[in-house]
Amino acid sequence: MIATIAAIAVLVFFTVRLSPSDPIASITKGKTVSADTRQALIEQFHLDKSLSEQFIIWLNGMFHGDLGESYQYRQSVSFLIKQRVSTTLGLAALATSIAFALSIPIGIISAVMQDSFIDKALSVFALVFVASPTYLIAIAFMYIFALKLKMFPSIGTGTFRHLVLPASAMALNMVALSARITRQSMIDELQSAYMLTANAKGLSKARAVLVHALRNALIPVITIASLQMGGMLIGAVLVETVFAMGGLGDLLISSIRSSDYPVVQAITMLMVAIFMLLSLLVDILYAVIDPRVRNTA
Amino acid sequence: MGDLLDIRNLAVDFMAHEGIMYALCGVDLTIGKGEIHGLVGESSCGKSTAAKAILGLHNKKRTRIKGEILFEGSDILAMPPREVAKLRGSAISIIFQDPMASLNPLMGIGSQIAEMYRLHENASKRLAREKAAAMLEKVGLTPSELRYKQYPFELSGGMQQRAMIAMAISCSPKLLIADEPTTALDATIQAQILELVKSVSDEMGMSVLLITHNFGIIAELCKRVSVMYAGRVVETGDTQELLASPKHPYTIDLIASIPRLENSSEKLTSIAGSPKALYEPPVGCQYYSRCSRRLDICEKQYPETRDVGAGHKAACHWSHSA
Repeated sequence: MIATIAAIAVLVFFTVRLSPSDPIASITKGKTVSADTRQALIEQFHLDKSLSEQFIIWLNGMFHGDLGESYQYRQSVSFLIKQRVSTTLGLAALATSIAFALSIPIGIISAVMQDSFIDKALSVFALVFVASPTYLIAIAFMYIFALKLKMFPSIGTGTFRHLVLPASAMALNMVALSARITRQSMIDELQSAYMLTANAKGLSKARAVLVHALRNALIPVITIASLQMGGMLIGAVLVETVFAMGGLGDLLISSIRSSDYPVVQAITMLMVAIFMLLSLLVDILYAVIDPRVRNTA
Repeated sequence: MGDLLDIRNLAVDFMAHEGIMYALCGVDLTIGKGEIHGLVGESSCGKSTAAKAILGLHNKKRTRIKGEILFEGSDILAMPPREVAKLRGSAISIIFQDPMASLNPLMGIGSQIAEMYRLHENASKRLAREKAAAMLEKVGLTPSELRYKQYPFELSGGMQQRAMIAMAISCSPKLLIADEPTTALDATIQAQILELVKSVSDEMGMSVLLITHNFGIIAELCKRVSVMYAGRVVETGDTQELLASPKHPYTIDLIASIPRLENSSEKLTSIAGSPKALYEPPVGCQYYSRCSRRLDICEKQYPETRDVGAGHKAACHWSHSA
């Protein structure tokens, strides 16, 4: 895990510097400055040093909790991130919760009522949303629920109501896929030998399905969900832009545009860290659900 | 002694993609109280289909079931589903061929047994736990405190089948259906498991329908035996009598194909051909094409089941005319 983080740090650092634009222009906000000022700035931000030296300085800073100073805002990167991180994490968390709360029941219903009208209707619904890009759903939601129905604010951030529309837009995409996976996994489990035993024991259908089959069926769902949650962070970037929420996604996009290396690096590393933390959580969750995993680990 | 189970003219049809499959075409079978009844026949002759029908485990949308299954005098097929569900696990239980797949992999075996007491006896969590532990003890899964917490994958095949048996007999059922309970186990474990089934049956006065294709097992355990072929019971009788003087050519051929030590130099005997799945309602005797004793009438008309000896019945034109 540490090796992975180190490799990603190298990758992030050098990839960011491949961009052809001039960071000094970002620092001076495009204004022409004297050669002296320019030289002073170059030295202040260590841009005169070799790339490997810069890398060491950056790493060293990270170990001491110093993420550097933003070129375009001239503020500490930690401060910029702290201001915005709750919006993005809140968005991702709410979206994931909505996705789970919808997709698992939908998957179970479709599996139990396999090939019925309801199953087919849900399957069409899922297909439409799997195929729709998140930003499209976001714009459609904004138009319908914010502009026409005026149920939720269209842009901005700060309250829970601001999160509902963008989180739902992000969730739908995930709901569709997770529900399909839940359905298939559930159908497989419903046909298993231990479900025949469960029926032979005289268990009610509800208990057989919800207690015996569901836990087994969730294993592949969790795998897919963990990958999707990673994708969710990327989805957040787009959705935040559409809803002008001023989260990390917004900040990341504007920083890439203006070659604000420290900010791009910090946000990317943060997302990598979150993604890895999620993977770890999923591994722990596997062990909680499946005794076979617990035993081999 | 009255019959515990009386199956009359049971027919099960599967609605498959290829068309209607006639899995059972009129099965008659009776099992007395406390009796261990053997059911033999080759693969896909309908043994398991009959077993599942007794418990109402077939998918109702894809099967059509006719006939009567009288359990203690009342017809299971005519009961509302809730009544049938009440019988399952409490009055009639089943164990399957593959215990590993038949136990829930994510639940401790103790909890899987305790679930039975919670469900059928409304036992408190603690009481259910105690009873389940006692049941583990009874089937020889000791120390029960350790076994209670173990998961199916932590047990050997034989221990898994013991756990299945513990679950099946937990609520003292009147009938245990054992669907090839030892097929997946090695020979030494087979004997132990069968011995366990027999001792439980003796002790609890529980009837057993023992499905197998091993005549050795039948001879050792079963008081009576029924032979199935292509969805019908072709011969029934007391085990000793039936093995000594089989009347149906299929039974005769089946017994002849058992390898024997005394003439081990000879080639193994087999029955030529194989039974085919029925996609049309059968006419005549299904064994016709493989039978060495066939008569002209066999192809056109199915023989009725007649007494051919004391407590011995067979459905065969050849043996009826002999």
